[in-house]
Amino acid sequence: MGLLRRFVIAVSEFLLLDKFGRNVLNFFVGMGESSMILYSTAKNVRYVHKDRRLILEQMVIVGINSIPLVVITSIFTGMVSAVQAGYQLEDFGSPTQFLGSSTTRAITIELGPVLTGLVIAGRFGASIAAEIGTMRVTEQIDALETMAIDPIRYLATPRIFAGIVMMPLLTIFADAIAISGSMFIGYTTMDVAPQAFLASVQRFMVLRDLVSGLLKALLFGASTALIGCYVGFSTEGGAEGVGVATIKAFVLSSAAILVNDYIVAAVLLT
Amino acid sequence: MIEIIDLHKNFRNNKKVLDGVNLIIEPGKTTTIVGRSGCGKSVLLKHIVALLRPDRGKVLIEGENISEMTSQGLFETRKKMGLVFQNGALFDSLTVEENIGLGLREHTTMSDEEISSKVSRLLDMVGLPNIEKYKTSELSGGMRKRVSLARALAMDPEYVLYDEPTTGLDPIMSAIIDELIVRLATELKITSIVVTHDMKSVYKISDRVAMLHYGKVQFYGTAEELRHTNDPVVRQFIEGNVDGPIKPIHKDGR
Repeated sequence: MGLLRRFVIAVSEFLLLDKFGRNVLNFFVGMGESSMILYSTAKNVRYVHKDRRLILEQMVIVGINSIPLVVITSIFTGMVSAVQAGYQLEDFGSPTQFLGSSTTRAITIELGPVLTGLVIAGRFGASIAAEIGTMRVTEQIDALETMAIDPIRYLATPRIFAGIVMMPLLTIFADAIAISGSMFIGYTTMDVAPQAFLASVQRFMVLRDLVSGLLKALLFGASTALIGCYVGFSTEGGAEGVGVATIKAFVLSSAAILVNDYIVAAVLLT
Repeated sequence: MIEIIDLHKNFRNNKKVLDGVNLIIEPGKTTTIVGRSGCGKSVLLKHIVALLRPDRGKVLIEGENISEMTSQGLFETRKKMGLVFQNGALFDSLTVEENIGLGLREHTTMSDEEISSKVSRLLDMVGLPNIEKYKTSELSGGMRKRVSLARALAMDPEYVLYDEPTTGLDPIMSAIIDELIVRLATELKITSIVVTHDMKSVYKISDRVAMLHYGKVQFYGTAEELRHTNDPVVRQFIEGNVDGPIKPIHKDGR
Protein backbone atom coordinates (compact mmCIF):
# COMPACT_ATOMS: atom_id res chain seq x y z
CA MET A 1 0.00 0.00 0.00
CA GLY A 2 2.93 2.31 0.73
CA LEU A 3 4.08 2.00 -2.87
CA LEU A 4 0.81 3.40 -4.21
CA ARG A 5 0.96 6.25 -1.74
CA ARG A 6 4.54 7.10 -2.81
CA PHE A 7 3.47 6.90 -6.44
CA VAL A 8 0.74 9.49 -5.74
CA ILE A 9 3.21 11.83 -4.07
CA ALA A 10 5.61 11.49 -7.02
CA VAL A 11 2.84 12.05 -9.58
CA SER A 12 1.45 15.06 -7.69
CA GLU A 13 4.91 16.58 -7.47
CA PHE A 14 5.54 15.91 -11.16
CA LEU A 15 2.22 17.44 -12.24
CA LEU A 16 2.55 20.27 -9.70
CA LEU A 17 -0.95 19.45 -8.42
CA ASP A 18 -2.56 21.72 -5.86
CA LYS A 19 -4.18 20.45 -2.68
CA PHE A 20 -7.49 19.74 -4.41
CA GLY A 21 -5.78 17.75 -7.15
CA ARG A 22 -3.83 15.73 -4.61
CA ASN A 23 -7.01 15.02 -2.66
CA VAL A 24 -8.75 13.78 -5.81
CA LEU A 25 -5.77 11.56 -6.61
CA ASN A 26 -5.67 10.33 -3.01
CA PHE A 27 -9.37 9.48 -3.20
CA PHE A 28 -8.77 7.17 -6.14
CA VAL A 29 -5.75 5.63 -4.42
CA GLY A 30 -7.94 5.05 -1.34
CA MET A 31 -10.53 3.33 -3.53
CA GLY A 32 -7.78 1.19 -5.05
CA GLU A 33 -6.32 0.23 -1.67
CA SER A 34 -9.77 -0.57 -0.25
CA SER A 35 -10.46 -2.75 -3.29
CA MET A 36 -7.22 -4.62 -2.58
CA ILE A 37 -8.38 -5.28 1.00
CA LEU A 38 -11.75 -6.47 -0.31
CA TYR A 39 -10.06 -8.71 -2.90
CA SER A 40 -7.80 -10.25 -0.25
CA THR A 41 -10.82 -10.75 2.00
CA ALA A 42 -12.64 -12.58 -0.79
CA LYS A 43 -9.59 -14.84 -1.23
CA ASN A 44 -9.55 -15.47 2.52
CA VAL A 45 -12.94 -17.20 2.39
CA ARG A 46 -10.94 -20.45 2.47
CA TYR A 47 -9.75 -19.60 6.00
CA VAL A 48 -13.26 -19.14 7.44
CA HIS A 49 -13.11 -22.40 9.34
CA LYS A 50 -9.63 -21.74 10.71
CA ASP A 51 -10.56 -18.18 11.73
CA ARG A 52 -14.03 -19.01 13.06
CA ARG A 53 -13.10 -17.87 16.58
CA LEU A 54 -11.93 -14.47 15.32
CA ILE A 55 -15.05 -14.09 13.16
CA LEU A 56 -17.35 -15.06 16.04
CA GLU A 57 -15.65 -12.54 18.34
CA GLN A 58 -16.30 -9.78 15.82
CA MET A 59 -19.88 -10.96 15.27
CA VAL A 60 -20.49 -10.60 18.99
CA ILE A 61 -18.97 -7.10 18.98
CA VAL A 62 -20.94 -5.85 15.98
CA GLY A 63 -24.11 -7.81 16.65
CA ILE A 64 -24.82 -8.73 20.24
CA ASN A 65 -23.12 -5.71 21.81
CA SER A 66 -25.02 -3.34 19.51
CA ILE A 67 -28.45 -4.65 20.49
CA PRO A 68 -29.23 -2.12 23.28
CA LEU A 69 -28.47 0.84 21.03
CA VAL A 70 -30.36 -0.68 18.12
CA VAL A 71 -33.40 -1.33 20.35
CA ILE A 72 -33.52 2.29 21.51
CA THR A 73 -33.04 3.67 17.99
CA SER A 74 -35.57 1.32 16.41
CA ILE A 75 -38.37 1.61 18.92
CA PHE A 76 -38.42 5.38 18.73
CA THR A 77 -38.04 5.32 14.95
CA GLY A 78 -41.08 3.04 14.71
CA MET A 79 -43.08 5.20 17.11
CA VAL A 80 -42.27 8.47 15.39
CA SER A 81 -42.99 7.00 11.94
CA ALA A 82 -46.46 5.98 13.18
CA VAL A 83 -47.08 9.49 14.53
CA GLN A 84 -45.89 11.03 11.23
CA ALA A 85 -47.91 8.60 9.11
CA GLY A 86 -51.04 9.13 11.20
CA TYR A 87 -50.66 12.90 10.85
CA GLN A 88 -50.33 12.69 7.04
CA LEU A 89 -53.04 10.03 6.60
CA GLU A 90 -55.58 12.26 8.36
CA ASP A 91 -55.95 14.14 5.07
CA PHE A 92 -57.02 10.91 3.38
CA GLY A 93 -59.56 9.83 5.96
CA SER A 94 -59.00 6.98 8.37
CA PRO A 95 -55.41 5.83 8.97
CA THR A 96 -56.63 2.28 9.64
CA GLN A 97 -56.22 1.07 6.10
CA PHE A 98 -52.79 2.46 5.40
CA LEU A 99 -50.98 2.92 8.70
CA GLY A 100 -49.47 -0.59 8.79
CA SER A 101 -48.29 -0.67 5.20
CA SER A 102 -46.93 2.89 5.08
CA THR A 103 -44.90 2.63 8.27
CA THR A 104 -43.73 -0.94 7.65
CA ARG A 105 -42.62 -0.22 4.10
CA ALA A 106 -40.77 2.92 5.21
CA ILE A 107 -39.11 0.96 8.01
CA THR A 108 -38.06 -2.09 5.99
CA ILE A 109 -36.92 -0.22 2.89
CA GLU A 110 -35.32 2.82 4.44
CA LEU A 111 -35.43 3.58 8.15
CA GLY A 112 -34.43 0.18 9.51
CA PRO A 113 -31.31 -0.39 7.40
CA VAL A 114 -30.15 3.24 7.26
CA LEU A 115 -30.52 4.05 10.95
CA THR A 116 -29.07 0.69 12.00
CA GLY A 117 -26.25 1.32 9.51
CA LEU A 118 -25.50 4.72 11.02
CA VAL A 119 -25.52 3.27 14.54
CA ILE A 120 -23.10 0.54 13.41
CA ALA A 121 -20.92 3.09 11.59
CA GLY A 122 -20.56 4.96 14.88
CA ARG A 123 -20.00 1.90 17.04
CA PHE A 124 -18.30 -0.68 14.87
CA GLY A 125 -16.67 1.31 12.03
CA ALA A 126 -15.09 3.86 14.34
CA SER A 127 -13.92 1.21 16.81
CA ILE A 128 -12.31 -0.85 14.01
CA ALA A 129 -10.40 2.23 12.84
CA ALA A 130 -9.33 3.07 16.40
CA GLU A 131 -8.23 -0.49 17.17
CA ILE A 132 -6.35 -1.16 13.92
CA GLY A 133 -4.98 2.41 13.93
CA THR A 134 -3.57 1.91 17.43
CA MET A 135 -2.07 -1.39 16.31
CA ARG A 136 -0.49 0.40 13.34
CA VAL A 137 1.13 3.20 15.38
CA THR A 138 2.34 0.84 18.12
CA GLU A 139 4.00 -1.53 15.60
CA GLN A 140 1.60 -4.39 16.41
CA ILE A 141 0.80 -4.76 12.71
CA ASP A 142 4.54 -4.88 11.93
CA ALA A 143 4.78 -7.57 14.61
CA LEU A 144 2.06 -9.61 12.86
CA GLU A 145 3.91 -9.32 9.56
CA THR A 146 7.23 -10.41 11.06
CA MET A 147 5.40 -13.40 12.57
CA ALA A 148 4.37 -14.33 9.00
CA ILE A 149 0.71 -13.57 9.76
CA ASP A 150 -1.13 -11.64 7.07
CA PRO A 151 -2.70 -8.61 8.85
CA ILE A 152 -5.53 -8.45 6.32
CA ARG A 153 -6.44 -12.09 6.94
CA TYR A 154 -6.07 -11.78 10.71
CA LEU A 155 -7.63 -8.34 11.26
CA ALA A 156 -9.69 -7.20 8.27
CA THR A 157 -11.30 -10.42 7.06
CA PRO A 158 -13.07 -11.36 10.34
CA ARG A 159 -14.39 -7.80 10.72
CA ILE A 160 -15.67 -7.61 7.14
CA PHE A 161 -17.30 -11.06 7.37
CA ALA A 162 -18.89 -10.09 10.68
CA GLY A 163 -20.21 -6.85 9.17
CA ILE A 164 -21.67 -8.66 6.16
CA VAL A 165 -23.39 -11.36 8.25
CA MET A 166 -24.54 -9.32 11.23
CA MET A 167 -25.85 -6.16 9.57
CA PRO A 168 -28.76 -7.90 7.80
CA LEU A 169 -29.58 -9.83 11.01
CA LEU A 170 -29.46 -6.65 13.07
CA THR A 171 -31.63 -4.93 10.49
CA ILE A 172 -34.28 -7.69 10.65
CA PHE A 173 -34.21 -7.31 14.44
CA ALA A 174 -34.39 -3.49 14.17
CA ASP A 175 -37.27 -3.74 11.66
CA ALA A 176 -39.21 -6.01 14.02
CA ILE A 177 -38.72 -3.66 16.98
CA ALA A 178 -39.59 -0.58 14.93
CA ILE A 179 -42.73 -2.18 13.48
CA SER A 180 -43.79 -3.20 16.99
CA GLY A 181 -43.28 0.40 18.15
CA SER A 182 -45.31 1.66 15.25
CA MET A 183 -48.09 -0.86 15.94
CA PHE A 184 -48.13 0.17 19.60
CA ILE A 185 -48.59 3.85 18.75
CA GLY A 186 -51.27 2.98 16.15
CA TYR A 187 -53.19 0.96 18.74
CA THR A 188 -52.83 3.37 21.67
CA THR A 189 -53.31 6.72 19.93
CA MET A 190 -55.18 6.03 16.66
CA ASP A 191 -57.34 3.05 17.55
CA VAL A 192 -55.74 0.95 14.82
CA ALA A 193 -56.01 -2.63 16.03
CA PRO A 194 -52.95 -4.86 15.54
CA GLN A 195 -55.00 -7.13 13.26
CA ALA A 196 -55.90 -4.17 11.02
CA PHE A 197 -52.28 -2.98 11.12
CA LEU A 198 -50.99 -6.41 10.03
CA ALA A 199 -53.73 -6.81 7.40
CA SER A 200 -52.60 -3.55 5.87
CA VAL A 201 -49.00 -4.78 5.85
CA GLN A 202 -50.07 -8.03 4.20
CA ARG A 203 -52.09 -6.23 1.56
CA PHE A 204 -49.58 -3.66 0.39
CA MET A 205 -46.12 -4.89 1.25
CA VAL A 206 -44.11 -6.82 -1.37
CA LEU A 207 -41.09 -9.08 -1.01
CA ARG A 208 -38.96 -6.60 -2.96
CA ASP A 209 -39.30 -4.11 -0.06
CA LEU A 210 -37.71 -6.53 2.37
CA VAL A 211 -35.06 -7.70 -0.11
CA SER A 212 -33.95 -4.16 -0.93
CA GLY A 213 -33.72 -3.32 2.78
CA LEU A 214 -31.61 -6.39 3.51
CA LEU A 215 -29.42 -5.86 0.47
CA LYS A 216 -28.77 -2.34 1.71
CA ALA A 217 -27.93 -3.68 5.16
CA LEU A 218 -25.46 -6.15 3.68
CA LEU A 219 -23.76 -3.38 1.69
CA PHE A 220 -23.71 -1.06 4.72
CA GLY A 221 -22.12 -3.77 6.86
CA ALA A 222 -19.45 -4.52 4.25
CA SER A 223 -18.67 -0.86 3.52
CA THR A 224 -18.53 0.15 7.20
CA ALA A 225 -16.12 -2.65 8.12
CA LEU A 226 -14.04 -2.14 4.98
CA ILE A 227 -13.71 1.61 5.55
CA GLY A 228 -12.86 1.07 9.23
CA CYS A 229 -10.12 -1.40 8.26
CA TYR A 230 -8.73 0.75 5.44
CA VAL A 231 -8.63 3.88 7.60
CA GLY A 232 -7.08 1.90 10.47
CA PHE A 233 -4.33 0.43 8.27
CA SER A 234 -3.56 3.89 6.84
CA THR A 235 -3.23 5.56 10.24
CA GLU A 236 -0.09 7.62 10.76
CA GLY A 237 1.24 9.47 13.78
CA GLY A 238 0.53 8.73 17.42
CA ALA A 239 -2.61 9.23 19.50
CA GLU A 240 -3.61 12.22 17.37
CA GLY A 241 -3.48 10.08 14.23
CA VAL A 242 -5.73 7.47 15.86
CA GLY A 243 -8.23 10.20 16.84
CA VAL A 244 -8.29 11.53 13.28
CA ALA A 245 -8.70 7.98 11.91
CA THR A 246 -11.68 7.32 14.20
CA ILE A 247 -13.53 10.44 13.04
CA LYS A 248 -12.58 9.80 9.41
CA ALA A 249 -13.92 6.23 9.58
CA PHE A 250 -17.28 7.40 10.97
CA VAL A 251 -17.66 10.23 8.43
CA LEU A 252 -16.69 8.05 5.44
CA SER A 253 -18.85 5.11 6.58
CA SER A 254 -21.86 7.39 7.04
CA ALA A 255 -21.33 8.93 3.61
CA ALA A 256 -20.94 5.46 2.08
CA ILE A 257 -24.22 4.38 3.70
CA LEU A 258 -26.11 7.28 2.14
CA VAL A 259 -24.52 6.75 -1.29
CA ASN A 260 -25.19 2.98 -1.23
CA ASP A 261 -28.72 3.69 -0.03
CA TYR A 262 -29.40 5.79 -3.10
CA ILE A 263 -27.76 3.32 -5.49
CA VAL A 264 -29.78 0.33 -4.23
CA ALA A 265 -33.00 2.36 -4.22
CA ALA A 266 -32.34 3.59 -7.76
CA VAL A 267 -31.55 0.10 -9.03
CA LEU A 268 -34.24 -1.92 -7.23
CA LEU A 269 -37.11 0.47 -6.71
CA THR A 270 -37.31 2.45 -9.93
CA MET B 1 23.83 -15.79 6.32
CA ILE B 2 22.41 -12.32 5.76
CA GLU B 3 24.10 -10.03 3.22
CA ILE B 4 23.21 -6.38 2.92
CA ILE B 5 24.43 -4.99 -0.37
CA ASP B 6 24.55 -1.29 -1.32
CA LEU B 7 21.32 -0.51 0.53
CA HIS B 8 19.80 2.92 -0.07
CA LYS B 9 16.70 4.39 1.53
CA ASN B 10 15.29 7.90 1.36
CA PHE B 11 12.25 9.10 3.24
CA ARG B 12 9.98 12.08 2.70
CA ASN B 13 11.60 15.35 1.63
CA ASN B 14 14.46 13.27 0.22
CA LYS B 15 15.84 12.63 3.69
CA LYS B 16 18.64 10.16 3.06
CA VAL B 17 18.67 7.53 5.81
CA LEU B 18 20.66 4.67 4.27
CA ASP B 19 23.28 5.66 1.72
CA GLY B 20 24.88 2.48 0.45
CA VAL B 21 25.10 0.16 3.44
CA ASN B 22 27.16 -2.99 2.92
CA LEU B 23 27.23 -5.53 5.72
CA ILE B 24 27.50 -9.27 6.22
CA ILE B 25 25.81 -10.90 9.20
CA GLU B 26 27.72 -14.07 9.94
CA PRO B 27 25.71 -17.16 10.91
CA GLY B 28 25.69 -18.11 14.59
CA LYS B 29 27.27 -14.80 15.62
CA THR B 30 25.86 -11.77 17.41
CA THR B 31 26.28 -8.60 15.39
CA THR B 32 25.44 -5.32 17.06
CA ILE B 33 24.61 -2.22 15.08
CA VAL B 34 25.39 1.06 16.79
CA GLY B 35 25.18 4.68 15.77
CA ARG B 36 23.60 7.98 16.70
CA SER B 37 19.86 8.34 17.13
CA GLY B 38 18.21 8.66 13.73
CA CYS B 39 21.19 7.23 11.82
CA GLY B 40 19.06 4.45 10.33
CA LYS B 41 19.71 1.47 12.61
CA SER B 42 16.07 0.52 13.06
CA VAL B 43 15.41 1.28 9.39
CA LEU B 44 18.15 -1.21 8.49
CA LEU B 45 16.55 -3.79 10.79
CA LYS B 46 13.16 -3.25 9.11
CA HIS B 47 14.76 -3.84 5.70
CA ILE B 48 16.13 -7.17 6.89
CA VAL B 49 12.61 -8.41 7.71
CA ALA B 50 11.16 -6.65 4.64
CA LEU B 51 8.92 -4.33 6.61
CA LEU B 52 10.52 -1.66 4.43
CA ARG B 53 11.61 -1.94 0.81
CA PRO B 54 14.91 -0.37 -0.29
CA ASP B 55 15.12 2.35 -2.94
CA ARG B 56 18.26 0.63 -4.22
CA GLY B 57 20.38 -2.33 -3.19
CA LYS B 58 19.32 -5.63 -1.69
CA VAL B 59 19.14 -7.78 1.40
CA LEU B 60 19.99 -11.42 0.76
CA ILE B 61 18.75 -14.00 3.24
CA GLU B 62 20.52 -17.29 2.56
CA GLY B 63 21.26 -16.00 -0.93
CA GLU B 64 17.72 -14.87 -1.76
CA ASN B 65 16.74 -11.24 -2.23
CA ILE B 66 14.02 -10.64 0.35
CA SER B 67 12.47 -7.76 -1.63
CA GLU B 68 11.89 -9.98 -4.63
CA MET B 69 10.33 -12.92 -2.81
CA THR B 70 6.73 -13.91 -3.45
CA SER B 71 4.41 -13.32 -0.49
CA GLN B 72 4.54 -17.06 0.24
CA GLY B 73 8.34 -17.07 0.10
CA LEU B 74 8.47 -14.02 2.35
CA PHE B 75 6.16 -15.69 4.89
CA GLU B 76 8.39 -18.79 4.92
CA THR B 77 11.51 -16.67 5.40
CA ARG B 78 9.90 -14.66 8.19
CA LYS B 79 9.07 -17.88 10.02
CA LYS B 80 12.84 -18.32 10.44
CA MET B 81 13.11 -14.88 12.03
CA GLY B 82 12.06 -13.30 15.29
CA LEU B 83 12.00 -9.56 15.89
CA VAL B 84 12.03 -8.06 19.37
CA PHE B 85 10.50 -4.62 19.03
CA GLN B 86 11.75 -1.61 20.97
CA ASN B 87 8.44 -1.20 22.81
CA GLY B 88 7.52 -4.86 22.72
CA ALA B 89 4.69 -4.41 20.19
CA LEU B 90 2.67 -6.94 22.18
CA PHE B 91 -0.94 -7.43 21.10
CA ASP B 92 -3.08 -5.47 23.57
CA SER B 93 -6.15 -7.61 23.14
CA LEU B 94 -4.36 -10.87 23.96
CA THR B 95 -2.93 -12.33 27.16
CA VAL B 96 0.77 -13.07 27.54
CA GLU B 97 0.15 -16.72 26.68
CA GLU B 98 -1.86 -15.83 23.57
CA ASN B 99 0.81 -13.37 22.46
CA ILE B 100 3.60 -15.92 22.69
CA GLY B 101 1.54 -18.79 21.33
CA LEU B 102 0.05 -16.90 18.37
CA GLY B 103 2.73 -17.92 15.88
CA LEU B 104 2.51 -21.55 16.99
CA ARG B 105 -1.27 -21.51 16.70
CA GLU B 106 -1.07 -20.01 13.22
CA HIS B 107 1.75 -22.02 11.71
CA THR B 108 1.91 -25.38 13.47
CA THR B 109 -0.41 -28.27 14.23
CA MET B 110 0.50 -28.25 17.94
CA SER B 111 -2.37 -28.90 20.36
CA ASP B 112 -3.44 -26.31 22.94
CA GLU B 113 -1.67 -28.29 25.68
CA GLU B 114 1.58 -28.45 23.70
CA ILE B 115 1.40 -24.72 23.00
CA SER B 116 0.73 -23.94 26.69
CA SER B 117 3.65 -26.07 27.75
CA LYS B 118 6.00 -24.42 25.21
CA VAL B 119 4.83 -20.95 26.30
CA SER B 120 5.57 -21.86 29.93
CA ARG B 121 9.06 -23.08 28.96
CA LEU B 122 9.74 -19.86 27.06
CA LEU B 123 8.52 -17.73 29.97
CA ASP B 124 10.79 -19.69 32.30
CA MET B 125 13.68 -19.09 29.91
CA VAL B 126 13.17 -15.31 29.99
CA GLY B 127 12.75 -15.39 33.77
CA LEU B 128 9.02 -14.68 33.94
CA PRO B 129 7.31 -17.84 35.15
CA ASN B 130 3.57 -18.00 35.86
CA ILE B 131 2.49 -14.83 34.05
CA GLU B 132 0.66 -16.65 31.23
CA LYS B 133 -2.74 -15.20 32.08
CA TYR B 134 -1.57 -11.60 32.55
CA LYS B 135 -2.90 -8.93 30.21
CA THR B 136 -0.10 -7.03 28.49
CA SER B 137 -1.26 -3.81 30.19
CA GLU B 138 -0.24 -5.36 33.52
CA LEU B 139 3.41 -5.73 32.49
CA SER B 140 6.31 -3.38 33.27
CA GLY B 141 8.70 -2.18 30.55
CA GLY B 142 11.26 -4.90 31.30
CA MET B 143 8.60 -7.60 31.38
CA ARG B 144 7.20 -6.43 28.04
CA LYS B 145 10.63 -6.73 26.43
CA ARG B 146 11.14 -10.21 27.83
CA VAL B 147 7.67 -11.35 26.75
CA SER B 148 8.42 -9.89 23.32
CA LEU B 149 11.65 -11.91 23.30
CA ALA B 150 9.76 -15.07 24.32
CA ARG B 151 7.31 -14.42 21.47
CA ALA B 152 10.18 -13.94 19.01
CA LEU B 153 11.68 -17.28 20.12
CA ALA B 154 8.44 -19.27 19.96
CA MET B 155 8.93 -20.48 16.39
CA ASP B 156 12.54 -21.57 17.09
CA PRO B 157 13.96 -18.96 14.72
CA GLU B 158 17.39 -19.11 13.11
CA TYR B 159 17.71 -15.33 13.30
CA VAL B 160 16.65 -13.03 16.14
CA LEU B 161 16.68 -9.29 15.63
CA TYR B 162 16.58 -6.97 18.64
CA ASP B 163 15.60 -3.31 18.34
CA GLU B 164 17.15 -1.51 21.32
CA PRO B 165 16.47 -4.33 23.79
CA THR B 166 17.85 -2.50 26.83
CA THR B 167 16.69 1.06 26.18
CA GLY B 168 14.69 2.44 29.08
CA LEU B 169 15.55 -0.41 31.44
CA ASP B 170 17.41 -0.21 34.74
CA PRO B 171 21.03 -1.49 34.76
CA ILE B 172 20.12 -4.80 36.39
CA MET B 173 17.33 -5.52 33.92
CA SER B 174 19.66 -4.52 31.07
CA ALA B 175 22.24 -7.01 32.34
CA ILE B 176 19.57 -9.74 32.51
CA ILE B 177 18.56 -9.07 28.89
CA ASP B 178 22.22 -9.04 27.81
CA GLU B 179 22.79 -12.40 29.49
CA LEU B 180 19.74 -13.81 27.75
CA ILE B 181 21.01 -12.66 24.35
CA VAL B 182 24.42 -14.25 25.02
CA ARG B 183 22.83 -17.47 26.29
CA LEU B 184 20.56 -17.77 23.26
CA ALA B 185 23.49 -17.23 20.92
CA THR B 186 25.75 -19.76 22.64
CA GLU B 187 23.19 -22.43 23.58
CA LEU B 188 20.83 -22.26 20.61
CA LYS B 189 23.37 -21.03 18.02
CA ILE B 190 20.96 -18.31 16.97
CA THR B 191 22.24 -15.59 14.66
CA SER B 192 21.48 -12.33 16.43
CA ILE B 193 21.39 -8.76 15.20
CA VAL B 194 21.12 -6.21 17.98
CA VAL B 195 20.48 -2.52 17.43
CA THR B 196 21.55 -0.62 20.51
CA HIS B 197 22.97 2.59 21.95
CA ASP B 198 24.14 0.87 25.09
CA MET B 199 27.95 0.57 24.82
CA LYS B 200 28.12 -1.62 27.93
CA SER B 201 25.83 -4.13 26.20
CA VAL B 202 27.86 -3.86 22.99
CA TYR B 203 31.05 -5.05 24.69
CA LYS B 204 29.21 -7.77 26.56
CA ILE B 205 27.21 -9.41 23.77
CA SER B 206 28.92 -8.69 20.43
CA ASP B 207 30.91 -10.98 18.21
CA ARG B 208 30.88 -8.25 15.57
CA VAL B 209 30.02 -4.57 15.74
CA ALA B 210 28.93 -2.30 12.89
CA MET B 211 28.64 1.43 13.35
CA LEU B 212 26.37 3.40 11.03
CA HIS B 213 27.21 7.01 10.33
CA TYR B 214 25.45 9.24 7.78
CA GLY B 215 23.83 6.20 6.18
CA LYS B 216 27.03 4.21 5.67
CA VAL B 217 28.94 1.63 7.69
CA GLN B 218 31.67 3.65 9.40
CA PHE B 219 33.16 0.73 11.32
CA TYR B 220 32.92 -3.05 11.22
CA GLY B 221 34.95 -5.34 13.44
CA THR B 222 35.03 -7.18 16.74
CA ALA B 223 34.19 -5.56 20.08
CA GLU B 224 37.89 -5.59 20.91
CA GLU B 225 38.77 -3.85 17.65
CA LEU B 226 36.08 -1.28 18.41
CA ARG B 227 37.58 -0.62 21.81
CA HIS B 228 41.00 0.10 20.29
CA THR B 229 40.04 1.84 17.06
CA ASN B 230 41.68 5.16 16.19
CA ASP B 231 38.85 6.32 13.95
CA PRO B 232 37.95 9.72 15.47
CA VAL B 233 34.25 9.38 14.56
CA VAL B 234 33.97 6.00 16.26
CA ARG B 235 36.03 7.14 19.25
CA GLN B 236 33.79 10.16 19.78
CA PHE B 237 30.70 7.93 19.64
CA ILE B 238 31.92 5.21 21.99
CA GLU B 239 33.34 7.71 24.47
CA GLY B 240 30.26 9.92 24.22
CA ASN B 241 32.23 13.15 23.67
CA VAL B 242 30.46 16.35 22.70
CA ASP B 243 33.47 17.65 20.76
CA GLY B 244 34.72 15.82 17.70
CA PRO B 245 33.94 15.17 14.06
CA ILE B 246 30.30 14.21 14.79
CA LYS B 247 28.28 17.42 14.93
CA PRO B 248 25.10 17.57 16.99
CA ILE B 249 22.91 18.12 13.90
CA HIS B 250 23.89 17.30 10.33
CA LYS B 251 23.25 19.86 7.61
CA ASP B 252 20.54 17.56 6.14
CA GLY B 253 18.72 17.62 9.44
CA ARG B 254 20.05 14.20 10.41
